[in-house]
Amino acid sequence: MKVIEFQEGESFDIELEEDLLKRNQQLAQANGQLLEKHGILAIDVMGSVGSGKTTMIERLSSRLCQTKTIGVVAGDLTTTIDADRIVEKGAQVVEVNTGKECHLDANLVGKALRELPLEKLDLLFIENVGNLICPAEFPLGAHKRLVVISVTEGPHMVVKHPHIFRGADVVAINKVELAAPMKVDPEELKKDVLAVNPGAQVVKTSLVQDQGTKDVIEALGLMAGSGAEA
Amino acid sequence: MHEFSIAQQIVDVVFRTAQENEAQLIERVVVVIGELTLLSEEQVRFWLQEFFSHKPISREACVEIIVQPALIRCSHCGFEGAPPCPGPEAHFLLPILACPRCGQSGVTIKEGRECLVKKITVKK
Ligand SMILES: Nc1nc2c(ncn2[C@@H]2O[C@H](COP(=O)(O)OP(=O)(O)OP(=O)(O)O)[C@@H](O)[C@H]2O)c(=O)[nH]1
Ligand SMILES: [Mg+2]
Ligand SMILES: [Zn+2]
Repeated sequence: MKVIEFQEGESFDIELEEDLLKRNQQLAQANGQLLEKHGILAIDVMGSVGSGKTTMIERLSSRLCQTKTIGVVAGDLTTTIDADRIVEKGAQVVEVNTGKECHLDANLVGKALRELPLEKLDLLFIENVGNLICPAEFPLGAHKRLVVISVTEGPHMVVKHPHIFRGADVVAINKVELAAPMKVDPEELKKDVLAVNPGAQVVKTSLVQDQGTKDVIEALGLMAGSGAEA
Repeated sequence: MHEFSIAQQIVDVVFRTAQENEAQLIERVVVVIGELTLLSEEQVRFWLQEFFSHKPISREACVEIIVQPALIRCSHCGFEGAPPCPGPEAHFLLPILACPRCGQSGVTIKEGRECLVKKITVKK
């Protein structure tokens, strides 16, 4: 080993290659391995503020809780409102208050996982912070990424925020019953999604009416009988 | 949007490294930000300067940000180079879908996604 002696008051360079985004990717991989070890399928639920992420988790949980034990990591800036809503559906919920953060990261999710009874769970939903930009840069270790958008966000939201859709496995276009008054064509939104990510499965939903929930379950490969492996 | 927290993490790395090396003064901090990250160079610089200005050890630190250009590689034809220039109306960060040479999808990003503290210059 080469030891360099420095004189008092002398400047020197310290080379370091600490990649902050890569660190998140490594932690995400570790989360993924932990989940796989326990046979848990994890779904990262992303989307804009108020698009219907919590409603989606409620609807999916109601239908799947007969056959699967479900856990939820609810990312919320400051409140426990979303977590309380999901608890009512019989899922095990860990609340992660991100405080000032605009996204969940793999470290926060890793901590939340330590609070869940992993050996009992089959399925885990992770509700990300409502935001279409930042979560795209921070993988969490989930196996599938579900993006929930709604027609009330206007006709250009996909083309304006392509990144979040690029990594999505399933995209739900929610609140379609409001499409006409909003003057938004869900088919156009679907085309925009497929232009960015031809492999995505796009489902139209009206979650208040529990419409399209079954299609989302199918698109996520969560049909009854199919195990946690999917 | 997450420039604030990224800047905090950078500051942590810088201060930790300075401490480990018993530095008395931090003179220069070199940060590399990939062109394909969603980080704004301007905002990262602003927050770094803001954080550094509050500590005597880093008050004089000069923040240098290097933007790492994107480099992609095609698994079909072996093309390696810059991603295609997006059209005028497209968002300049629009996801790269196809290889500019053979048109196949399945390109991997080799460079342009990093965010790292490359070097700091300190005085004992
Ligand atoms: N009209 C209509 N409203 C809906 C639909 N789905 C959800 N909502 C309503 O939209 C509002 C927001 O829904 P949430 O599920 O809380 O949305 P979220 O994405 O979890 O919101 P944040 O966590 O706050 O970002 C609630 O008032 C829901 O009842 C739908 O299909 N149609
Ligand atoms: Mg919610
Ligand atoms: Zn090619």
